Parts: sequence; structure tokens; C-alpha cells
Amino acid sequence: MYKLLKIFHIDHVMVCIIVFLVLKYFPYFFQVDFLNPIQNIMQDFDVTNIVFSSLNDKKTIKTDTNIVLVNIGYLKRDGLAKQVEILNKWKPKVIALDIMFFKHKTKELDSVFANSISKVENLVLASRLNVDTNCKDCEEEDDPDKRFDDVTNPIDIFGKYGYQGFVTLNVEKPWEEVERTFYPEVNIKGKHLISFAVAAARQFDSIKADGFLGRENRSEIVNFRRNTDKYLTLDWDDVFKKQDSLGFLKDKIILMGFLGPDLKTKTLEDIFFTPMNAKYIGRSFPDMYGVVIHANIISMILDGKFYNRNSVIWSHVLSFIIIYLNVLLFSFIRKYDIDLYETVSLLIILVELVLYWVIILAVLNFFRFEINMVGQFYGLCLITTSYEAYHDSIKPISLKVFGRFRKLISRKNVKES
Amino acid sequence: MLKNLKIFTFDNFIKTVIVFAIMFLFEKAFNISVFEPLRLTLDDVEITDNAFSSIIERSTISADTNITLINSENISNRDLAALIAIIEQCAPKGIGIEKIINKDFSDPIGDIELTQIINHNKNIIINKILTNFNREHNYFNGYIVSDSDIVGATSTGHGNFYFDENKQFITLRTCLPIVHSKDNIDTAFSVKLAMLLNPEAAKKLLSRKLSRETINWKGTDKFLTENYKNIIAGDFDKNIFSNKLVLLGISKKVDAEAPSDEYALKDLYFTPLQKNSGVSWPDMYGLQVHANIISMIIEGNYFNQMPRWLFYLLPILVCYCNMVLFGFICDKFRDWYELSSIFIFVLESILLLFIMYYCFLIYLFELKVTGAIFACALSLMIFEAYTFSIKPIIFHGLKKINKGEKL
Repeated sequence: MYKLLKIFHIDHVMVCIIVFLVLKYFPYFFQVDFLNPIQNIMQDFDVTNIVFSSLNDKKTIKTDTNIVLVNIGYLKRDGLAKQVEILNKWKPKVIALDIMFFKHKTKELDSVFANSISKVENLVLASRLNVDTNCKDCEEEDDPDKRFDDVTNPIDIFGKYGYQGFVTLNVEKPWEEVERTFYPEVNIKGKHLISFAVAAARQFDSIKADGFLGRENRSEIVNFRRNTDKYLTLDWDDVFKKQDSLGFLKDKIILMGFLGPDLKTKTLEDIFFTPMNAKYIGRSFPDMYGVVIHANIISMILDGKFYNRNSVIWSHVLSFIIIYLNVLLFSFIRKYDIDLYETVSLLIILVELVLYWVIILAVLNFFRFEINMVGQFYGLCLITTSYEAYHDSIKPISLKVFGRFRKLISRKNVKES
Repeated sequence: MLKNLKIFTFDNFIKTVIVFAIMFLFEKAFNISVFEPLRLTLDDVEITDNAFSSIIERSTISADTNITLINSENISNRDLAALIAIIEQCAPKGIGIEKIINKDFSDPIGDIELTQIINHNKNIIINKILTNFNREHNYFNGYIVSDSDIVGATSTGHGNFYFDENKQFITLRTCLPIVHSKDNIDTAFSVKLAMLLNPEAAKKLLSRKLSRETINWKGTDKFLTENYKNIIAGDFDKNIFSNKLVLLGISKKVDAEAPSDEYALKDLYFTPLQKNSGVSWPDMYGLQVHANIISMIIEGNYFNQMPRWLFYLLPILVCYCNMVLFGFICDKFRDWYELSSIFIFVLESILLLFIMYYCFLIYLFELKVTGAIFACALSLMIFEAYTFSIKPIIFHGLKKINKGEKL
């Protein structure tokens, strides 16, 4: 048996090299214009979507009562000032405004609003990170310090009353990308900035927020568990109509932001595709407003339920090991009984592909750990073809060509001698 | 050499049967609920969508000057009456209102004005929405229509593009020229409007007797579009209405890079013109879809669909031919088999896609080749599994049984 199983052999390495070469250059095939539809779908697919969209049992997820979402609708600054005043009356712990206050309006409107927010004890305002337009590879860049080169803060008359956190999310084109991760903190031009959600969570529970930042991850997977139905949500007019009965706001985090003209009408403003979308791949309508994404991040920080993932290097190493082990197994089967090889190798790959999905989904779902092995999935799909192409075509043809070449040379030498 | 081609053999037949059995099982496996979105997405993929979004040069598509679209989103009944009155003065061929008109209790005078103007004109068609599709009996059970006190006996046409599919997830590719309601036959809003413009062209469509007609898309930028406020203000050229079809409803460009609260997700559809077939925003309003359909009817540029028998025959044929070819290569050039079979698969797939695009663009013929490509990929695996594994194992097993040996 051991004789059959030659663990280290140049042929095995060669097959692995072929698999990796095909993996590297195969995507170029899909860059042809007429295969765009398939490429688009393959790009969008992410295993986390299945967990957040289908596997998480939404019925078991409880409403997060620490956070109250307030829709600002189309209110202007005077209306917002009234909203803040009413909400602040009920002594919430934090009021965080996911609203851009980057420009002055009329003096009257500005002063009314400034006066209103000046009374809030723990206020968080939104700032925005600006992408470095000179950075060439910034779309693929996962380092926020390189991707962004500037920050836009709220105007001073508002900014001085609160803490600031950037509301910028990871996706650059929310109309064709799924929001999965976010940057907890960035360093721009020597300034250390934290995200809006982290800033709000810090005002509520600084130990948990600092513990989260202590993970020192450049980007974090958002633990998407709730949409507006799993948060206490107030429409813009509810605040005015029910202003005398909002006692439940005491000691809560109030997140004010745009949730549509009213809660029933969905629009395309400040809305994102998230992995919670009922349809986790392909075309669908965007499913979550920006302010709800911030709410999910805050919930994640307060619950302490974070996602971890393996590094890219580990992913490559793991892929190589698995592909190599398969090559080894195939060689063993071929030597043991060549008749069995074709059928058994297909079955093995089929079982492995099923196992691959089961393991990845289970680990992600139960241990909140994302095994980053997309390359390995395609590697498994390609392995039998590469193995057979090498052993049954490339190798014998090369040996024949080499043999003939050697014969030719030896004849030449005989003639010369 | 070709004499050695073994075309009609039992082995080739069996291999082809195995390929289609696996294709059948594969489809069943995808029916698990977790994979539902994946299945829906794969079902929704049409490679020919690319023809509309990328391959056809937009500048080569001619503008349709027979149709004028008026963006009249959130228009009041009073303004609608004023708008129709202005348009009528310019002698249009017809007016289509893609809106369910209800009474405005805050403005009864506006309602009266609208009632008068609508009932006074005979070339108005109003949208009607059919609901509760009964898949078993193939008809709609309900409908939503405008208030009869206002529209009276004005002609209506159904504005449905789907039977019961969820428009949030499905790319709109076809229209329904005629559908059945419980006690009635309903003609589409767009077909009725096309009848006003060119009855012969509309009759040609109806004579095709197809329950679904593939839309030949022009896009949204090939129709003249105006805002109703400009027209009521008198800021327009009369020529944009005379002898034309005027469609009233929501008509504006969905600009993803400048998201706006204006784009309420209510009457928006995904069309093949949307470049991104993955995660993307819907790209066209219902009114614009109707304009595209009318344009297709008037120009008579219909797509012909692949007959059912060809849909099944093509993959079988491709698969069987592959089995014959692989068998030949395997017999005569064993060393070259593995590489050449991969090469043949890639070449065949490209060729099939090329033929599909050629038929689609040049002959307006929808050739479905995805089944054939899938069969082609599987034929590669099944050929090897059968020839080098299944057959020898069975053969040896039978030999042993004949000799009375243990298996």
C-alpha cells in the first residue's frame, strides 16, 4: 500500500502547478464581452450571503431594544431641530445623526438646529471620507488609510456640539455592490478617525467599543441580523404625534437617518444591497437603508458577536494542501485499480464539493468564522481535468517528443563519430 | 480515417442517456430551498441580454418619433385634465394614460374636469392592472381599474408584463399581447395604443398568436420625453404631439450614480438593457417599457422563438456528436485525447455562443444554447467515466460471473 502512495513526486507538483495556472488565467476567459452576464453573477456570489439571507432563523432573532431608529423623511433643519428636542426630552443615552451637515443653510435654520443639538448630552454627527482619486488600485485596496485621503466634517456651528464618526461604508457603487464589511477606524493625514457606528457605540458602552477596536482589524464583516422590523422604529411624523408617550427612549441609542419619505415607501436614496437580501445572488431590489446598517454594526459591537476570517496566505496554503492531497488520492486510485479511477474521482470531487459548502456554511453559521477559499472551490472543479490532461496527454506527449529528440541527437552523434 | 468513426453504437446512446439523466438530477438538486435564489438567478440569466446592453451600438438604433412620453408622476386630476386638453388640441393619434385614476376628494372640480375631457375623447386608452393569476386555469381572477365615475366607458388595456412572477427578481424580456381574465380576453395597453397608430401592424402582432412576445428593446433615450409641468406652462413644441402617440406616466432616467429619493421602487423593472446582470438597480419605468413594445409592433421587428423540439434536440445532438468524436480521438490518438477533448469543449461552447448571437442579431431568432453547452461539458466527464471506468468494471464483472468466480 505504501508503495502505491508516493507522497512526494514531481508529477503531483506539476498537476498542482497546472491547476493554479488555470485558476490564475481562467477568469480572463470570462472577461470576453459576451460572457459578461455570467461574470457579473460569479463576482457577486459570496457564501456569507447564504448565511445572512437564508440560514439565520429570523424568527429567533430578537428585537434590539438598545437602539431606536428615527426616520427623518424630508424634514428640513427646523423640523429636525424639533425632532431632536422632542427625542432629547426623554433622556436617551446617545443621539446619533446619520445626516450630512456639510453646508450652511439660512442663518435662521442653522441657529435653530444648533440650539437644539447643543442640549444633547451625547451627540454623534456624521462625517464623510473622501476617496483618493489619484490612487490607481484603490477599488481593490482593502487598506482604508490608502483608499481615503480626506474627510469632510460637519460645519463648525454643529460640529462643536458632538463627537464625529464617518458614515462612509465600504462599497463605492452601492447600486451594483453588496455591503458586507466596514472600516472601524482609519488614519488620514495623521488624524485618527472612527466610524459613526463605533462612535455611537462608544458613547453607549465605551468598554465594549474599545474592546472591538482592540481587534485591530482593518475591515470587519458586519454581523447582519436585523432590518427595520427588528428595531424599534419611529416614522418622522410619529415623533410629533406621539411626543408625549416616548418614555421608552430613556437610556437608548437613537439613530436618526433617512428611511424613505415614510416607512412604507422605499426609495433608492441611501439604500444598499446587503447579504440579508431575500435573494442573495443576482437581481433584486436593495434592501437596507444606511442608518439600519449602522444599527447592525452597533448591535454587533454591543452583543460582542464578531466575525473572523482567515488570511489570504492561509487560504492559498490550504488550497495547495487540499489540491495536493487530491492529486495524491487520484494517483493512489489509478495505481490500485485504473478501472475505478474515472468514476471514483468524479464521485470524490462531487462529495468534496458538497462537503466544501457544508463546512464553510457551518463554520460561518456556528463559529462566525469565514473560511476564505473561493480559489479552492474552483480548484476542486478543475482538478480531475488537470490531472488527466497532465497524466494522459501532456506527460506522454512530452516524453515522446523528448524521446524523439534524444534519438535524433544520438543519431547525429553516431553519424559525426 | 473517417471510416473508423463509429456513429451508431449502443455505447454512445448509453453515454448520452447518462448525460441527460445527470442534467435532470442536477435540476432537481437545485430545488432545495436554500438554493432557491441561486436557481432563480441562473434561470434568469440570458446571455443574449448582452446584445442589448453591450453589443448593439446605441448610435445605430434609430429614435422612434411616433411616440412622445410625458413624465406625469404624481399629477393631480386637475392637471391631468389640463394636460389632456392641451395635447388634444395638437391632434395626436392617441393618448395612453398609464395610471389608475381615482377620485381626488380634495378637488372635486378637478375630477369633473377630468371626467369631461376623458369622456369627450375617444382616442384615449387607460391602463388596467390584472391581479390574482390562476396558474392552474391560466387566467387572471381580479383587476384594478380607474374609478368608473371618472373614466366612464373609456377603453382600457392591461399593463401587466408578467403572469405571477416577482418583478423584483426577474428580468423583463417579454410582453403579454393578450391574456385571459375570468370572463374576458384582455388586450395589452401597448397593443391597443399601437392599434390607434397603425392597426395593420397591431393585427400582425395578434396574428402571431403568441402568449409571450420577446421585446425588441430600443431603450429609454430613443423616445422624446417631456415633463408635464412644461406642457401645462405652455413651454413646448406642438409638433411633438401631432399625429403621434402620447403616453402619460412615469418616464425619467434612472441614474444610479446620482441616487435620488425620487426613484421610488414602485414601477421600475429590470430589463436586458441593464449592463450589470448581477446586483443592480432596476433600470426602466413601466411607461418606457410600453413605448418599447409599441415601437416594436409598429416596426414589426419581432423575435422568433426557438421551437420546442429544437430546444430539446440541440443538446442531444451536440452531446451525441461529442461522444462519437471523443470515441474516435480516443481510439486513434489516445495521447491527444485529454487535451483535445478540453479544446473541443471550449471551441464548441464558443461556436455555439457565436451562432446564438448571430441568429439573435441578424435573424432576430432566439436560439437557446445553454442546455447544449451544459450537455457538452457533461459529455466530457461522462465519456471518460463510462469508457474508462463503468464499462470495464461491468465487463469484468460479467466475465467473472460467467466463469462462476466471486465478484
